[in-house]
Amino acid sequence: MVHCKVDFLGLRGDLADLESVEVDLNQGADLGDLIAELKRKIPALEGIAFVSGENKLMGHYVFAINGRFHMNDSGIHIQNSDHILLLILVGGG
Amino acid sequence: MGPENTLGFVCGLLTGTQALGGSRFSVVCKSPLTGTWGDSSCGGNFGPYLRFAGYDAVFFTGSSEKPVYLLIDNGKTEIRDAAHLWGKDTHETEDIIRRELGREAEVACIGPSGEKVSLIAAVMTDKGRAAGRSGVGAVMGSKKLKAVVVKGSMKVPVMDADRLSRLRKDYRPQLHGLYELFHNTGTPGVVVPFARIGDAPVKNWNGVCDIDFPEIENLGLDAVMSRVERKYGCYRCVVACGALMKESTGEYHYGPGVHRPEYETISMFGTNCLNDNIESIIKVNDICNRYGLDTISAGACISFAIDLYENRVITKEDTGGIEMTWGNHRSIVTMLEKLANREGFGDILADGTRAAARKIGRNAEDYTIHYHGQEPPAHNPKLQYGFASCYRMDATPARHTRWHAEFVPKGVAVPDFALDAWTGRGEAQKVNVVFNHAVESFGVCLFVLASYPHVDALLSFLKAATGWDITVEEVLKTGERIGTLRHLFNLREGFNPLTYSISGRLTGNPPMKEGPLAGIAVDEGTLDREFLQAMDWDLKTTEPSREKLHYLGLDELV
Repeated sequence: MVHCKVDFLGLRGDLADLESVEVDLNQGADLGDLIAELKRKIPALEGIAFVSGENKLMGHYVFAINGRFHMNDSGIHIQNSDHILLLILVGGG
Repeated sequence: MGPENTLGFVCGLLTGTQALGGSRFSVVCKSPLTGTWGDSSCGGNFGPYLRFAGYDAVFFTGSSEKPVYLLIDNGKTEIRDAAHLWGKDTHETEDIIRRELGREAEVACIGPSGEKVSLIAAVMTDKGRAAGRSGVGAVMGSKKLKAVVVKGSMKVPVMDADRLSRLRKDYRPQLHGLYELFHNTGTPGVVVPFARIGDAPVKNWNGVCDIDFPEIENLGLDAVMSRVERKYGCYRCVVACGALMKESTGEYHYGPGVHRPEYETISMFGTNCLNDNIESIIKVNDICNRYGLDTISAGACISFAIDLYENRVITKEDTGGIEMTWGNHRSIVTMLEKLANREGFGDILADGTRAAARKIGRNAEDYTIHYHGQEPPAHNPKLQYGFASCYRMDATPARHTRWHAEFVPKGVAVPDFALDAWTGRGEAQKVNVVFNHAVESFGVCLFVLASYPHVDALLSFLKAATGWDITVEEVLKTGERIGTLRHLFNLREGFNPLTYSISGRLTGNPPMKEGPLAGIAVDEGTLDREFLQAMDWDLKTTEPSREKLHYLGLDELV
C-alpha cells in the first residue's frame, strides 16, 4: 500500500475550507487511481475538479506532486509519502 | 518623460522587517509607455536596505544634465557623478559601485536600454530582479539618473520587534500551499502545463500549443533545473523562489551565476516565439537583465517582429538581413541585442509593439498585442477571466498581479463565482483586486503570501510592526483607496479604460477555431459592468461615485 497526503489549494464554494485528506492507494497507483480514491472520499470533487464519470482532471486543475506539475496524461506513479497538492491553475506571476 | 515626471522608489509597511515576505519595493511614475499611472513592484535586497539606510521612499523630480547617481548612506544623501557608469550594463554597474563603496552597497540601476530611453526599460537590482513594467527604466534614464545606491545599518522602526521575531518563527513552519513548488523549482515548472491549457501564449497569441508547438517539452522543468547552479532568494526570504545558473556550455555564452529565466520569460521568448532552445532563453534573459529590459515586453516585441516577417509585412530589408522566423533562436537572440542597443530594426522595436507598429505602418497594428500600449504577460484572458478584467481596468494596463484567486489566503471572504462564467464575478474581482493593492503597499511578496496559512498571519505582522490592530475589512478598504487613487490619476490625465482598444487575439474576436480555447470570446461588457458596479464607479465614465469617495475618505477629490 501507498500512503500519502493530498493538500488542496484554490477550491471554491463548499470546498473552500477543504485543506487536506490522507489517502491509501495500491502500489503502482497512477493519477487515475488517485482521482478515483479522492472522489470516493470527497464526492463533491466530482464535476468540480474531476470530470464526471471519468477519473480525469477538469481543465483548470492540476496535481503538483513533490513540487512538479502533473496533468491527465502524466505517467507518474504515486509513491509512499509523496507530497501531493491539487490546485487550480489560476493566477500567475 | 523629462523633468516634470516624478520618479519614486517606495517601500511598504513591512519591507525590511521580520515579516515573512517583507522584501518588496515599488518604482512609481507616470508611465511613458501608456501615459497612465505607472508602477512596478520588485524584490531583491534594495527595498529593505533603503529602509536600513533611513528612508521609506525617495522621489526624484527634475532631471540632470549629466549622468548621476544618488547615494544614501545611513541617512546621509549625496548626488554623485555617474559618468564612469554611463554605458555600463547593470552587472558592471553593480560591480563598480561595490568596488568603490563596499560590498554592502545595494543598487537599483538602469542599463543601456534605460539610458537610451527605451519605453520598455526596467529598473534592475541584484543583477536580475526587475521593476519591469510601465517603462519606469525609461523615466530614470530620461533624468540621467543611473542608479540609486543604499548603504545602511539602521533598524526599521517597528512597534514590537520581539513579537515580530516570534511571529516569524511561529508562522515559518506553517507555510503551505504553493510554498513547496515555489521553493523547489520557482515558476519554470508551470510553463508546459500553462501552455497546454491555453494560458501561456503561443505564436504571438495566435497558436495552439499541441498543434503549433509539439516541441514544448524541450522547455520543461528538467531542461531548466538541470542547468541551475544554486538557489537565489530575496532579502531573508524563506521561499527563495529564484535560482542562479551554471555557466553555459552550448553556442550561447553566459557566465555562471546569471539568474534563471522564470515563467514569463520562458513563455514570451519560448512558447510565444515557438522557440524550444532553452539555452537561448537563458541568454535572452541575461541580455534583458544586463541591459535593463522588461522581459515580457521584449519577448512580445520579438514575437511581433516574427509575426510581421512570416506574414511578409516586413522583409529582410527591414530587419537588416535577420530572418525573423518562428523558432529561429539565433535570430531571436540577435534581434534582441539590436533592440537592447537600439540598432537597426531593434530601434523600432525598443519602444514596445504599439510604437513599433505606428512607425512601420503597413497594417502592422493588426499584429500588435497590448493593452493601451502595455504588452500583457503570459496569462490568457480568454482562459482566466479575472485577467480579462484587470488587464483593462487596472490603472497600469495589462497588470496581472491583481488577479490571484489562489493567492488570497484563508480568512479573506471572497464571494463565490463560477470559473467558466462571465457573470457573477464582479464582487469577487473587487475583493481580489483591492486585497492585492493593499498587500503590495505592505511590501509583501505575493508568492510568500500565497503560502501563508491564514490572513491572520498578515494581520499579526502588521500589528506587530505598526501597532495598528488592523482588520481584514480595513485591509480591503485600504486597498480600495489605493486602487481608486491610482484610477483617479488616470481620469485626471484623460484616460478612461473602457475606451482602450484591445487586440482581438486577446479577446477572442474572432474566436480561435482549435485548441483548448476554441470558440471562446471574452464577454468584456459583462466583466467590465459588474466590476464597475462592485467598485461603485460610473458605468460609462468610470468615475467613482461621490458616496464611494466619501467612504474612502477622499472627499477632497470629488
